[in-house]
Amino acid sequence: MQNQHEIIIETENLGKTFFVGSREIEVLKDVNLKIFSTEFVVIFGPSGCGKSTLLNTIIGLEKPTHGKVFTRNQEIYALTEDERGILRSKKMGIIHQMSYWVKALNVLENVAMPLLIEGEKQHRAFLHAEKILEELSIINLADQLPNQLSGGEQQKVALARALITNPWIIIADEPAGNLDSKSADEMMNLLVRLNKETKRTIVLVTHNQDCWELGNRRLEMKDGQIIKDEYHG
Amino acid sequence: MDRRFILRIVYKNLRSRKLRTLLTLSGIVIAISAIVFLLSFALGIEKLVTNEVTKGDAFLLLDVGTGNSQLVKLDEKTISEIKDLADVRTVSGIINIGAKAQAKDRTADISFYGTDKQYLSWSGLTLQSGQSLSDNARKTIVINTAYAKLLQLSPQDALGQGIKFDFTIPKELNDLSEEKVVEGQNYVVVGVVQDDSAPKAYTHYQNLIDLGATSYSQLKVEANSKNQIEKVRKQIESTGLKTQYVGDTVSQIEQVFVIFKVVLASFGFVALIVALLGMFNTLTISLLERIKEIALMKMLGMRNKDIKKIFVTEATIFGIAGGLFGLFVGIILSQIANMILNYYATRSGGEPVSVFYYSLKYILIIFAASFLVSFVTGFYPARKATKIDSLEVLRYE
Repeated sequence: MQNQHEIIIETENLGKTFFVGSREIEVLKDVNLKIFSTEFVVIFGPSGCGKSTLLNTIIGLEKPTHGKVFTRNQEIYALTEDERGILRSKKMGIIHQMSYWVKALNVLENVAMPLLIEGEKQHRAFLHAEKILEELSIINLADQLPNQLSGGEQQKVALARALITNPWIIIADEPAGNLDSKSADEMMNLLVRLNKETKRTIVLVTHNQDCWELGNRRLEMKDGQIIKDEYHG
Repeated sequence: MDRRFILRIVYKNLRSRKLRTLLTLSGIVIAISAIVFLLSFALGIEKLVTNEVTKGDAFLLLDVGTGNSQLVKLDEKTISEIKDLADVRTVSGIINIGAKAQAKDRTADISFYGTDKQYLSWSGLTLQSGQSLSDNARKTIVINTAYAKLLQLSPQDALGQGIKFDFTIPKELNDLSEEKVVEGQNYVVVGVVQDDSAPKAYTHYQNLIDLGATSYSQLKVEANSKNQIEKVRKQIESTGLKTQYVGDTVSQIEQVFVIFKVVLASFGFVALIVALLGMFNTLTISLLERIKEIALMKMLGMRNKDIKKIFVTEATIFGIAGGLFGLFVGIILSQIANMILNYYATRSGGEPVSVFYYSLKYILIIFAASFLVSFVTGFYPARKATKIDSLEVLRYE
C-alpha cells in the first residue's frame, strides 16, 4: 500500500559502520526508508539490530558512514551541527527510554525548554507549556522537580516536552522500556490517541512485540537491515 | 534563546547547590575585601603623608632661597622684582637669626624669625592662643608650643610673658662684613602657635630690619594659579636664585607609594588567584555533574553559544556578586580597623585620623577586575561544555 501523504523522513542507502578496536561492525546496511505524515510507524527488532542507530541518524545526531537523510526534502547532514540542532528543536519531538532533565528546573520550565531554545519569549513559552500539560492531564505536576516524579509521570512530561514545538514528527525510542505495565499502557495509549485524534506522525522504536499492533505500519529490522515493511489497519 | 531563561537556569543551578555556591563566593569576597582593605590602607597612609607635607596653599607656593650664593641677596629690591613678575600674586619673606632668650630665669638658644602673618599661615602654623603677627605691633612675638613648654607655660598663660633677647644677625643678612650682635631686646608674647618641634619665636620682620637686618633668609612666592608655577619658577631661577616646590616632594612621595601600593595589592591579588582557582574548580565539577543536562540541551537543539552563555554567566555572577560583597566587606572591615586605631590614638592623646582612604577610581578598577577575571575564568568550562558529544553521553547512560 503506497501512502499518498507528504514524506517527512527519507533515507537513501543509509549505512553506518562502527569500529571496535580493529573490528568493523556494520550497524546499518543500505537502509532505504520513507516515512509519511500521519503514519504511526513501529520499528521492531531484537537488541543490537540497529534500531537506535537508525533513529539517531534520522534525528541528526549520528552522522552516517554513507547515504543521506532528508526531512521534508532537506538533506540534514548538509547542515551544520547548530542548524541540525535548530531543526531538531523545532521539527522533531524526541522521547527516550530514560528521561533526561535539567534537574534544577521544574516540570513547566523543562517542558517549555524546546520553545525557549527555539527563541520564544519566556512568558509565551510557559503559557504554551501549561496548555500542553493540561492537554495531557498532568498540569498538577507543573511546579514539581522532574526527579521527584514516577517513571510513568516522567515519560508523560517527556512527551509534553516533545509536543511543545508542534513538531513534524514524534520519535519515541523505547518510551515504555523502564515503566511498569500500567504506566507503559497509559503511555502507549497516549501515543495512539495523538496519532488518531491529532494526526501526529509517530515513529516508535521497540523490542516489545506487544507494541506491534499499535501502529499502522510495521518495520522489522534485523542485522542492520529492514526485513519487513507492512501496513495494516 | 531568551536571556532571562539563561539567567533562570543559572540562578536555579546556583540555588540548588547552596553550600558550594556560598563557599565559592566567600573565596572571592575574601580576596576582594583583602584587596580593598590593603589598597585603601596604602592610599590612606599616602594621603596622610601628603597632607602633612602640603599644609595650607602649598601647591601655589614656591620657596625661594639663595642656595649659599654670595652673589644674590633676598633684599627689598629682589622682592619688588619678583612681585613685578606677571603671574606672581604676593611675596612674603622670613629672616632667620640666632637668639639667646631669657625669661623666667631660664636662658635658652632658640631660633628667631622675622616675618609676617601671611608667611606663618602659609607655613601651616595654627594659633593655639592670642593673635598672630600684625604689621603695626612692635616688640611683640609669637612663640611656638615647644618654647611655651620649655618655659613651663600653657599656651594661654604664655600670653603677656616678657622675654629678653640677645640677637646675632649673620653677615649674609646685614650690610656689614661681619655678624652683628644686638643685646637686651625686650619682647612680649602675644600669640602661641602649635609646633612641638624645637623652641622658636616669631616677630614682625620690621623689628629685625630696624635692628640692621637687610636681607631675608627665604621667601615664599605665591603664584596666581598652579599652572603658572613652572613659569614663575623658571623666571626666578634665571636670576640665580634657587627654588623649591612642594609638588616635587609630593611626586617623590607618590613614587614611593606606587611601590607600596603594588606590594599590598599583590597580596590581595594572590588571594584573588586562589579564589579564582576555587571558582574554576567549582565550574569544572559543575560541568561534570551536569554533563547529561548539557547533552540533553544540545539534543533538544540548544546552540553552542547559549550553552557557553550559561557557564560564562555563572562565572560572571560569581564575579559581580563577589566583587560587590567584597567591596562592602572590605570597606566595613577597614572602618572597624580605623575605629579601633583611633580609639587607642585618642586615648593616648593623639588626634583622630583616617588611615584608610577609598578612591572611586580604585573601587571601580577592583570591581572591574573581579568582573573581568571571573568572566575569563568561565570560558574554559564553557568551551568544554560545547564540546560534549550528547550522543556519547546519553548512549552510555
